[in-house]
Amino acid sequence: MRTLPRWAWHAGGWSLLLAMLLLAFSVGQFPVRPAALLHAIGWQLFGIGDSPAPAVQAALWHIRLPRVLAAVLIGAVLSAAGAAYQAMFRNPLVSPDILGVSAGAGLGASLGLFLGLPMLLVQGIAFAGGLGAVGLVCLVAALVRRHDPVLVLVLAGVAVSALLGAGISLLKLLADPYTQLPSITFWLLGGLNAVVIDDLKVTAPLLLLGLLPLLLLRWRVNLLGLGDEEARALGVAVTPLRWTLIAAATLCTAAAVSLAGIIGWVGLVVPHIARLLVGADFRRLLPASLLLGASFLLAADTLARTLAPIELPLGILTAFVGVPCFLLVLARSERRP
Amino acid sequence: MSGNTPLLEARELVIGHAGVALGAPFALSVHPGEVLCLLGPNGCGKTTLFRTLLGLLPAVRGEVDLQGTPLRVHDRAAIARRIGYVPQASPMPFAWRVREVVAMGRAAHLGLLATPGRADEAIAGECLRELGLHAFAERTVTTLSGGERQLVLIARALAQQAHLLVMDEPTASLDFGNQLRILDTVRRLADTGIGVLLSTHQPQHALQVADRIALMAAGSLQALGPAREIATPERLATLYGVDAARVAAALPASGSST
Repeated sequence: MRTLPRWAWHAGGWSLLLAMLLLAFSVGQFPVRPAALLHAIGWQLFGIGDSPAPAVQAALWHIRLPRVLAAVLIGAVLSAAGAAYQAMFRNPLVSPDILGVSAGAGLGASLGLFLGLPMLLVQGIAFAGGLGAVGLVCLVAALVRRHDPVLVLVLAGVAVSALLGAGISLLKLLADPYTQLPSITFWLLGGLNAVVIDDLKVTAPLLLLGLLPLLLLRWRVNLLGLGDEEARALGVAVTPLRWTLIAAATLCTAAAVSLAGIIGWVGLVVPHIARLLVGADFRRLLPASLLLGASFLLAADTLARTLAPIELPLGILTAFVGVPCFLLVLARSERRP
Repeated sequence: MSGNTPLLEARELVIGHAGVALGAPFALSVHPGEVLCLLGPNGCGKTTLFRTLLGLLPAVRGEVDLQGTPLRVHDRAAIARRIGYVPQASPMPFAWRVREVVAMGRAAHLGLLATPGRADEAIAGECLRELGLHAFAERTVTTLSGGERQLVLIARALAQQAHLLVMDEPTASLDFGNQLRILDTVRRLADTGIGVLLSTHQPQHALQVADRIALMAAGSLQALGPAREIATPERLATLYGVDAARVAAALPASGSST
């Protein structure tokens, strides 16, 4: 399969995102017809026409806008973090929670919900838990110097995730089955239904801060994919570069997970599809992953709130959409491009 | 070209892991325009020696100089500007394009946040042309054969614009035609003034391409000198622990190889 020329994937990626944005704003419990949507946008941004009905404004700007923004941001950074981890660990099957960030955030959030803390505090503990889990994994990797550092990182990540997962299970067992357990379960499955604009004011800067090093170092990320010895022989200071990228990708993922819960598959599937479209060079893979990830999660979230009379957990939908996509990509890429 | 400051000079060098010596001290130097070939049985320390010379592994004792300055004063990028490294061609995990892989050789010349610019792309293109790979520039590396991949790695090392190339068994697992192609490339590069240090398991390859040959055993150099004086059946027989008559039968008659 040939990769797309630059203009083609840019045009395609941005058109897809724009289409998803229009769709996300128009559908839902309070449908807004395309004409009314354009009118409302025109009035809001440029003051064109009459003031739209208050119900339309409330639905669009107070209910849908924070959710749409959150979906775009989180989908984009989870995909970027996934692409970075895949390049770093020289393995296209790695997802952004390989180092235990989801398990750590999950345990933090479960603990917060178990203790009945306010939502903002729950998010804070989840964020700290995610960073703490990865910190622990990196500490183990730094202490164990006898083996290949990448292998130790991945194995320590698996082990720490399993340990924290057991902690989550314990909390679920101890939680009140009528009040606390559903909220813990729902959080662990991920969702954007509770996102308000104030959450974004806290989370968005963290997401962008984590994204910045990935953008700045986008070419060097390729070199880590060659393996440590080769990268060093080419003049790369591998260890500081890897720690920087891990810190950045972890910040992104922890911030995303603390806001939206555990949303699987995005960070694994989207970089795969992006790689098929634009090739493996991280300079193109990163923007393509950002664009596709935003569209993917926006589409999944739009489905989550429209598919059934009740809100579906986002993590379930990303798995339902992501896994078939992943298998399709796997089947298609069997003959290496 | 030779006779000037050596590109690489090791004195009283003891190689090993974690401070544990692998063998006795030895000396080694590579001069501009020469091919120095390293022969030795499996596990004799060829890769450990290369890693030490590249600064990837600390020497147990002794000194390594690059163009007259000690290796240890250089950071990674400075070493990479002085030694181009050609690893054994292992499959790559991602389907990069050939020109992208060759441009990675420019890392040591670029700032931390920089990406290869027009000049770097031009150098990468030049290196591809040098090796007759210009038609491959847009191919993905995962579609290349072993020989093509090895040539791409040599092109990447050339893009480092170092005067010394270190090649780890560049002819291993290649077919006969590709082996000859690689050896001719090595000779041609040396004739442009580049110094080449390479390891091989094939004495006949060493005789074909090398100016000097070093015999390595038990973590140290046993002999180092002009190719034909060193790679004699008797010495090779001792080195590899086989019968001298058997070695003589396997090698081309002295002086007849090109």
